Amino acid sequence: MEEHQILGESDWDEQDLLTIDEAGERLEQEIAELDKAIEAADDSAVPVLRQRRDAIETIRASIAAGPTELARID
Amino acid sequence: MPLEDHVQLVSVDDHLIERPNVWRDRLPQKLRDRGPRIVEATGEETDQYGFGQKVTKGNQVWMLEDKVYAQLGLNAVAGKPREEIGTDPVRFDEMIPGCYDPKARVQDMDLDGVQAAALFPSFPRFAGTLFGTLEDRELALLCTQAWNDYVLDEWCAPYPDRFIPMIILPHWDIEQSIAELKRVEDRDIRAVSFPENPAKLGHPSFHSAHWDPLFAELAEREIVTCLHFGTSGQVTLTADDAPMAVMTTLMGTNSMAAMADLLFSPVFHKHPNLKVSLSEGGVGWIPWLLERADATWERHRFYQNVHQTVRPSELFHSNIWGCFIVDEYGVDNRNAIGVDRLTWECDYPHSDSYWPNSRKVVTEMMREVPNDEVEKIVETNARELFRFPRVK
Repeated sequence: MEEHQILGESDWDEQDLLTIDEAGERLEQEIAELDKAIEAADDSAVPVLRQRRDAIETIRASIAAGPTELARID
Repeated sequence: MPLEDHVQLVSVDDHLIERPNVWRDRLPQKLRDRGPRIVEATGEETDQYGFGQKVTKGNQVWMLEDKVYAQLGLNAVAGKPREEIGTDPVRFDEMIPGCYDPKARVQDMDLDGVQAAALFPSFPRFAGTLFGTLEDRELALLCTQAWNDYVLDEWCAPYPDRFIPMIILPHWDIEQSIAELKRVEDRDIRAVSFPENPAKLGHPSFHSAHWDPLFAELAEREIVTCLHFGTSGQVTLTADDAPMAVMTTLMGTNSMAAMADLLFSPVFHKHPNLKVSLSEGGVGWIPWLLERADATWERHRFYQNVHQTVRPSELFHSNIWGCFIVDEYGVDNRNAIGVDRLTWECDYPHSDSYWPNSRKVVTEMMREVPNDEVEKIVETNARELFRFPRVK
């Protein structure tokens, strides 16, 4: 192990955030997988899968709606 | 085994992004123009974090006193080639609201199947150490108190079964730190986020007696001391031209260093009830480090100022907990670590979390683990450690 050095005294290395784009892509991928699963599923399994899909759509819509009031900058 | 539906995921390491007006709303009027606030960069500012680079015009950055901190997150945008990902900050309108909005966060947690989480700061660094760099100690203390009031009032109070009350301390002043614990004692604080190695921040080390009054207070109050990796302001830099991947890969060595420090320090001998959670460091390395520490203790304890009768591994098994997002090696070797020592973390909203598929990932990771052990690792160990039982 080499010596430790101060690198700007930051925790920034772990600051890599879920952006709207990143989150949106994850949700779209999940929806695509669920659509395939719904198509292949037994009737009994479909309601749970649809419920999950609806929940994802709700979150996707809320993210697409943009920043909430708490992002306001005075 | 698959993750059973009745098991609730409890994340011991998530983060919040402070909304822009936290300190403007909460600092005394006379300090608001010097306290943390979000500004639009003109392109002339120099970032006080990272490598001291210029901030791109139009980016939103934090300003504290007259310094700029471009730390809103790396611009890791899906669809962007990895080679183009840089360190320009993202703007609030590029973040998902769950980063900074508690209501949106809870909805995101519901989608992810995560029931509860402990929240580390972002702008003040993960243990609030940024405020310790201020020469104006009144401002530093008030900024710390404002963050604590913010997380307790705006996150924990509205959602008492979702967010584990954790605060930061004015760790540069031991009396103020204890006073802060007392100031918020009616909020039943379960954890503090504390620097993993205060010596690297210019303070006395864990080997000194300096922290004893604080550790005594934390032990007495059954408050967990969370040491998040990176909170010493240190990274392992192997070479000037080493890619960032080397440093990122080695971040867990910070937790190894913190644990070795503690196991050979007087801390747990003086404070046997002190509980330490190593945040985000992974766990697969723990059996090796304990073996190494015990072997070192066996051969070399006689001529050093270390405890002469208690092995380091004994201290680990009574005082330290580890956590992981994904650590298959650690899970496979859970019995060598101690199943009771293991907790799980989501790390939302950082992009290395598996949101919105945490339960799916946990199921895959735990496929060979008995149900009772899965429940301990992802839920009940954390609930017991943080005194955060299920709401009936």
